[in-house]
Amino acid sequence: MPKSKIAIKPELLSEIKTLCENNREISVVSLCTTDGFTIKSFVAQDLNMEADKLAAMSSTLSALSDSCANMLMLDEFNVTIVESNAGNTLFVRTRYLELECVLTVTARIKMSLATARYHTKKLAQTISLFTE
Amino acid sequence: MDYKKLAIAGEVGSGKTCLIRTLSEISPIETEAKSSIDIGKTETTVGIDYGRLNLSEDTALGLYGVPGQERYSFLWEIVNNSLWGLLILIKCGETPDYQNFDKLLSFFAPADKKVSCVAAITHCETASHDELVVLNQEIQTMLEQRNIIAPIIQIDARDRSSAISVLHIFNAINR
Repeated sequence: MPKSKIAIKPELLSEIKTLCENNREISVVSLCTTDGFTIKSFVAQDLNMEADKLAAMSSTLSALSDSCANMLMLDEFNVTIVESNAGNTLFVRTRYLELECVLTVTARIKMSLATARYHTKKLAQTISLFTE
Repeated sequence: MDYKKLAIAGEVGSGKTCLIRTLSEISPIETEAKSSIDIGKTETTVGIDYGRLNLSEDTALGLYGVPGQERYSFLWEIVNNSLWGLLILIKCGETPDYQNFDKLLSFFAPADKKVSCVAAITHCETASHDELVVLNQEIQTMLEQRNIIAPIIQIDARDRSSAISVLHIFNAINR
């Protein structure tokens, strides 16, 4: 399984921890490979979400989004947003230690979509700069 | 237009995407991602593969390929409604994950839902007769445990006539 092979860098943990501590509205942060294996996931205690299913869902949505973007916009997808009355979930493609990955962030409704998008994109960019 | 749904499930590398490509009359929607583990190919399906073909002037068949791993069971839930048939692909040459196979059978429950089911063995071009006999028996046992009566056939997902033969079998069962 890749999760036993992929190094969980302290910087990755630190970035996720900082984001969650500074933004209590964030209830989920998950980093997984594009083929649906969990690298690291943080899920708020009140949510009953298994990490492997979250990773599977993230990989499916990003693949469907990419397929949609390819067909309708002749481009690769950038961000997929799922909006609900309770909050927003964002799916962003990124890279982690040369692996193609999906970063998933859920923010409760108190955090604006723009703010959630900013934090998600920023974290994705930071993660993509990590090296072995 | 009457619209029917065929669910195609199976393990990684069993030929779901290939079969849909072979059968579909439209450009199929595919959700492939680069594989991070060694599965004998560079890409793997992580969502629904969708294709479509016309069975007759007034009947269309939607082909829904879904990953066989349980963590993708949320996709099984999306597909498992008003099915015309359930096709389970089993790759020859590798020991199937029978625990997962049973979860798939348990979830789709074709016997309870009175949905036609076919088990198709793929990648069997170089398999020996004995190997196929053993695999057939193992699949038969798994199906019987769930009270499923389903033909077990061998197909080449790349070959259109072989792929079409699966639809003929479903058509015959559903009459």
